[in-house]
Amino acid sequence: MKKYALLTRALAVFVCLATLVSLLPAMAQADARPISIVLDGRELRGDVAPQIIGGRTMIPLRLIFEALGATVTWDEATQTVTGQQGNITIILVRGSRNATVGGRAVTLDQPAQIITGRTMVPLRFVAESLGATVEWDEAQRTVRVTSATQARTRSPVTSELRMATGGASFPFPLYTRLITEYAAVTSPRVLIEYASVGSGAGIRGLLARTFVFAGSDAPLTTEQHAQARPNEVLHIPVVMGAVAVVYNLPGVGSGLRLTPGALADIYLGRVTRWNDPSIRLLNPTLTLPDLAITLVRRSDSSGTTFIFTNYLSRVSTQWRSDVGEGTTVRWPGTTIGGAGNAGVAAQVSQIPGAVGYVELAHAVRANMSVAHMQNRAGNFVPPSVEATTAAAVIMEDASFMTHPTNSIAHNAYPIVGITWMLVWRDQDNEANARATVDFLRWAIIERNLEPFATELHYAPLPETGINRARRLLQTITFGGQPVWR
Amino acid sequence: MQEIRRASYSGTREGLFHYITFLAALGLVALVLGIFFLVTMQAAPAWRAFGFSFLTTSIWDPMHNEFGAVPALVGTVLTAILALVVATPLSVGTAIFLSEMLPQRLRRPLSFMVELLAAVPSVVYGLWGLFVLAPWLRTGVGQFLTDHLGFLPIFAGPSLGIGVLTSSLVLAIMVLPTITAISGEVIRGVPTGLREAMYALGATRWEVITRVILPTSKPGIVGALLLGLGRAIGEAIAVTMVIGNANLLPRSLFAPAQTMASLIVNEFPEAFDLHLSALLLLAALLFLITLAINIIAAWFVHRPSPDATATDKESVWARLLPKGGG
Amino acid sequence: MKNIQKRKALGALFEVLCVLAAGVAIMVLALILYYVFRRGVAVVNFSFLTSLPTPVGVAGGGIGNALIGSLLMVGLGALIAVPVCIAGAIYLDQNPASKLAAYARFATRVLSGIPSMVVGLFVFSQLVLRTGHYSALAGGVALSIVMAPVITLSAEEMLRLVPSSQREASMALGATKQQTVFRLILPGAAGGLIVGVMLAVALAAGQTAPVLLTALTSRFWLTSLAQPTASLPVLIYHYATSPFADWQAHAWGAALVLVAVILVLNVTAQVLLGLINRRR
Repeated sequence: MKKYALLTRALAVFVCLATLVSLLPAMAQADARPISIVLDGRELRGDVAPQIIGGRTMIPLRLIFEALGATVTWDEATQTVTGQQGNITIILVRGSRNATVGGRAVTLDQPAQIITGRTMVPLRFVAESLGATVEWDEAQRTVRVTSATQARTRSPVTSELRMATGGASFPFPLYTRLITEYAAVTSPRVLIEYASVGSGAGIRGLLARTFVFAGSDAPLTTEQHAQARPNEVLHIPVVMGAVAVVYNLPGVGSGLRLTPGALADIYLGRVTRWNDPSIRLLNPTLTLPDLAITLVRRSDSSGTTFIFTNYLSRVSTQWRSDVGEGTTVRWPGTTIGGAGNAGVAAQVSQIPGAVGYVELAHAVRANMSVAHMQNRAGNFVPPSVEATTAAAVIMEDASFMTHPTNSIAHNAYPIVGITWMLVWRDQDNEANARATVDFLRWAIIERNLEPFATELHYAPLPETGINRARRLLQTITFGGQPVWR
Repeated sequence: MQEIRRASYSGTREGLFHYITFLAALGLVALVLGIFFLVTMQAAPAWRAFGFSFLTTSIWDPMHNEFGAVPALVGTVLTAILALVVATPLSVGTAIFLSEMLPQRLRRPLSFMVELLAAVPSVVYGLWGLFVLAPWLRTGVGQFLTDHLGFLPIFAGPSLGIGVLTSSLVLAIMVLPTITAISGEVIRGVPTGLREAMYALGATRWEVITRVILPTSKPGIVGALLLGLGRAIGEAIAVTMVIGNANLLPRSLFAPAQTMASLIVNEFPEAFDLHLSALLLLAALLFLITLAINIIAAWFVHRPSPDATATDKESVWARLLPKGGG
Repeated sequence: MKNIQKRKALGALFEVLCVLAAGVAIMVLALILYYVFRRGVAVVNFSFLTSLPTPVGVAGGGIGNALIGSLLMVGLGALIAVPVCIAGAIYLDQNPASKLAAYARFATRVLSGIPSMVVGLFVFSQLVLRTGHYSALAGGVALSIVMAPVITLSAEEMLRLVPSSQREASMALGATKQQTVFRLILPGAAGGLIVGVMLAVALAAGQTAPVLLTALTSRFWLTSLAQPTASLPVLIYHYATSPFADWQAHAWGAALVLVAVILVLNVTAQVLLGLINRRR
C-alpha cells in the first residue's frame, strides 16, 4: 500500500519536473532574442540589427530617418549627419554627444557611432525629435515607435470604450490587424473585440444586439430585414476578396483556362475527366492528363461557398435551377468536403486530379495552381488584388449590396465578393455609435486599411465603393441626430 | 427554559441548513429541466416540419429547407462502432495486462498514466489526428488497402487520409483510456478467493483469466464499453477535424462522411430559422441517445457485485475521470 | 503431457497478445503527448505566456490574456459550482432515499452526458441575450454547469465514505445533523472533495464551445468581469483553423500549456487521493 502510493507520488513529481525542465531552455532563450523595432505596427528591418548600448537602442541611421519620412544627408568631411523632415532639422556628429534639433543644442547619452560598418544613431532621440512617441516593451524586447501622423489623434469617445463585435471569418485576420491599429490611434482608447464566429452567428448577434456591429460575407435575407424593422441594418462595404479556382494536375502549373460554362459543367458533374474535349479545346497548349476530376468543396457553411455558388448561378441556368446559391448548398454529384479554406487547400494539394475553390490569400500562401477564368468581356484573367478591385469599378448594383460576380469590366476577375460591416441605422448608445462611425471612417473612408489589406491579399474598394460607404455612414443616427461630424 | 430555547434555535438553523441543501439539489434538477426545455423548444419547429421523415430521409439541403438526418445517423453509428471494434481488444488487453500480469508496484503508476490521457482535451486529439495520423493513413495503410483490396467495396479508394476510418481510429484512441480504466477496476474487483481457488487447482494464468475473471467481470466490461460508445457518439470537435464532413452515406472506409455532432459544429455558425432548428433537433437526438447509453452503462457498471465495497472508491474515480472538452 | 504443453503455449500466446495490446495503446497515447510537446515547446517562452496576441504579420505575441481569461473563468465556475454542488451532495448524503435525491442523481447523470455546446447555448440564451453582453461572468457560469456533475457525483461518493459508525457516534453525543455535517463529515471527506474539484477544473479548462458562445474572445487585457475575454481553448480553435503559419504555431504552444496545466491538476488530484487512501 505504502509502496505504490510513494511510487505514484514520485511519478507525479517526475511528470511535473519534466514539464518544467522542458520549458526552462525556452525561457532562457527569451532574453537572447534580438530586439525588434515596430513602427506604426510594422516591423522595421535593416541589414544591421538594432543594439542596446548604455541602455539606449541604437539603430542604423538611414533606416529610422527614412522610415519616419525624413531625408538624410551624410557629410564625410565633417562626419555630420543631417536629417530633415518638414521644418525640423536634426544634426548629429559621429562620435560626439552634442546634437542640434531645430537650431537648439542637445546633449546625448550615446553619440552616433559606427557598428559593423553602419552609422548607428540613438532611436529614441531621433524618433522623438521627429515628433514620434517611443515605447519599450520588455516582455517582447520590442521598441514600439508611433509616428507623429499615427499618434493618438482621434477621440471619438470621452472614456475608454470596449465594443463586442463578431461575424465572418473571411476578414478576421484583417480586422484583428485593424482593431489593434485603431486602439493605438485613439485616446481615450477604443477597444473592439471581433470574434470569428461566422457570418450567420454575426447576423444573429447583431439582431440580438449582443454585437455592436457585425461582419458578414452575405447580405441579410428578406426575413432578417423584416426582423430588423422599423430600424434598418446598413451594409457597409469594407473590402473585397477573390475566390480562386485551384487544381492539382501533375505537370500543369497555374494558368489552366476555364470558361464559366466549363466550370459549371465540372461542378455539375457533366465533365468528369481532365482530358475532356471541352477543356482541351480551351487549353490547346497544355497536355492534360487522363485523370478523373475530384470535386472539393467547403464542408462548413461559408461566405466563400456563397460567392462561388452565386457566380455559378449567374453563369449557368441549370446551376441556378438545380442547386442555387448559399453558404451551404446541396452539391450535385460526389464531392469531398474540406473544413475551412485550409481544409479545401489541403485536399486539393493531396489528391491528383482535384479541383476546388479557396480565397485568394490561401491559394497564394499554399502556392497552388490557379485557373484563369474567362470574364464577361471574354478575357482570361488570373485572380489578383487588382483584378478584384476592377470587378467593382462598374457595379451594376450601385448599392454594393450584392457580390460583383461576373463583372462586365474587361480586366475584372469574375469570382469576387464583398465583405460587409452590418451596422444599425438608428443607434441606441451614443458612445458605441461615435466609436463605430469613427472606426469605419478611419478604416474605409480614410483608407487606413489599404496597406494591411493588400498585404493580406484582400482587395480595397474602388472609389465608388468608398463613396457608397461614406454615404451610408453619414446616415447613421443617434437620438435622431447624425453621428458623422 | 434556556435549554428549550437553544433547542428551538438550533432547530430553525437545522431547518435552514436542510432547506439550503434541499434547494441546491432542486437547483440541479431545475437546471437539467431548463436545458432540456430550451433544446426541445428550439427543436420543435423542425420536428413539426419533418416528423419521422427527419429520421428516414437522407437529403440535407439547407438552401431548400429539406432536412433528413440519415447520413449523419449512419456516420455516427458507423464511426462509433468501428471505434469500439478497434478499442475493445486493445483496452481490454491493456486492462488485463495492467491488473493481472504486472507486479503490484508497477500497476498503479502505469494505469494512472493511461487514465491521465482521458483528461487530454479533444481538440488536441483532433489536431494530432489531422496533422499526424491522416497523412500517414493516406500514403501508408490506406494506399496499400485501396491498391490491393480496392475491389472490395469497403476498401474502395481513393484514400484521402480523412474519412470514416481516420475518425474511427481517433475515436478509438480517445475512448481507450476510459474503457481501460473502468474495465481494469472491474477486473480487480473479482474476489481474490475465486482466483486463488483456480490457481490451486493447477490452472494457468490464461485459464484463470478466461474462465473466471472475464466471465465474472463481463457485465462491468460491457458497461465500460457502453460508456466508451457514449463518448464516441457525442464527440464533436475531434471528429469534425478528421471525418471529411460530407453529407453522404459513406460507401467505403475511406469515404468522407458526417456525424450528428460534426454536422452541428460545421453548420451551426451560419444556420438560421428552420436550419438552426434542424440542428437543434439533432442535438436533442444526440442528447437522448447518449442519455440512454449512459443509463444502460451505469446499470451494468453499478450492478452489485459480491465484493463491491472494496473497489467502490477506485471505480468511482475511474468513472469520473474527465472527458476532454468539446 | 501434450495437453499441458498446449495449455502453456496457448497461455503464453494470450499473454503476448495482452502485452502487445498494452504496448500499442501506451505507445499511441505517448505519441500524442510527444507531438503536442514537440510542436508546442518551440514557441513557449516567458514572453509567449505574458504578452497579448498580435495580428497576422506582426512578430511576437502570446497568450497572456487567454491564460488569465481561462484561469479567471475556471475559477469563477468553481466558485459557483463548488458550494452549490457540495450542498446538493450533502442533501443526497443526508436524504439518500428521498424522491428529490433520486431525481437529482438522475439529473446529474443526464447533465454529464449533455453535449457541451448545448450547455453553451443554454447560458447564451439565458444570460448573454438577456444582459446583452458577452462576458467572462457568463463564461464562468457555463463552466460551472460543465463542472457540476463531476463535483456532485464525486462529493456524494466521498461523503458516503465517512463511516456510519462515526456519524451515529456523533449524533449519539447530542450533535445536530448540521453539526455532524460540518464537524465530522465535511472535514473527513475534505481531501476527496478537493480531488473532485480539481478533476472538474481540469475538465472545464479544456472546454471550447461553452466558452466561445458565452465569453466570446478578446485581443486585450481583461479589466472587468462584464467584458468578453479570451481563453486558451478558443484561442487554439481560432488559430488552428487559420491559414497563417505563425498562428498555427501559437495554437500548438497554447495546446502544450493547456495540456500541461490539465495534467498537473490531474496528477495533483491523484497524489492527494493516494495520500487520503494511505491515511485510512
